[in-house]
Amino acid sequence: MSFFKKINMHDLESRMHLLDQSSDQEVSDTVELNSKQQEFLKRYLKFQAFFIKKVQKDNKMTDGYLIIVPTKGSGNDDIYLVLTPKNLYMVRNDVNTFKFRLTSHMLRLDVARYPSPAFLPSGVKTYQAFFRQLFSVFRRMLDFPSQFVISTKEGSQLSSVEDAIQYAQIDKYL
Amino acid sequence: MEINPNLRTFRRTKKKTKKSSKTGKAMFLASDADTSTMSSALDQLESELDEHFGSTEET
Repeated sequence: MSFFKKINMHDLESRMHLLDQSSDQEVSDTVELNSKQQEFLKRYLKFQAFFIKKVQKDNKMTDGYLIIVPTKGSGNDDIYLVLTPKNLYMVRNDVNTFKFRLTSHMLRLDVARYPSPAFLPSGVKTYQAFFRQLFSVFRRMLDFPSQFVISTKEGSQLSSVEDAIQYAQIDKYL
Repeated sequence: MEINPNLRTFRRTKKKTKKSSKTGKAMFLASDADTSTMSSALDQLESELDEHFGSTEET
């Protein structure tokens, strides 16, 4: 069963030069968020916590985190999400592969670009693009839940979740 | 006593609810009040996104 478009490592290696020459501003131009922007992030995290509670209620979950993977052909199959009540991780595999992190205790969006595992603060344009894509996935989940696979994992220690978020190993979680 | 002929049909067609599989996969149930609440909240966030992140000066 293929729930997620696997990354072909040979293709990735052949495109490595694109990672260095990327004009994408994902990792540069960091920004200090103003109070309204911080408030926006808090309200998003409330929405996410509500979403998790909903899934917990429907499935009698008591602990853990969610891994949400669009099924192939659903229109968002280059993304997967990992959610805890206070953290969000998104891995996006396009021409470049990015790993995003939004945590309530830092209240900012960090991004890591493959192959580096290190997270760096992102620029403001990245916030806009990130949330637009994220909301699109949530919208699709609410409208067409059958197009997604939601898997649960117990034990949501922050460090263990971060270690679990790999660039290209989604199959092991399903 | 008369027996309702539909009752027997109902019993035969009633299906048991399946429990979650052992693999830990979960189902997301849509079309209820919670989903409507989430949809409204998402509408609100979407409408405010450009306002908050559309024209900020980068540092």
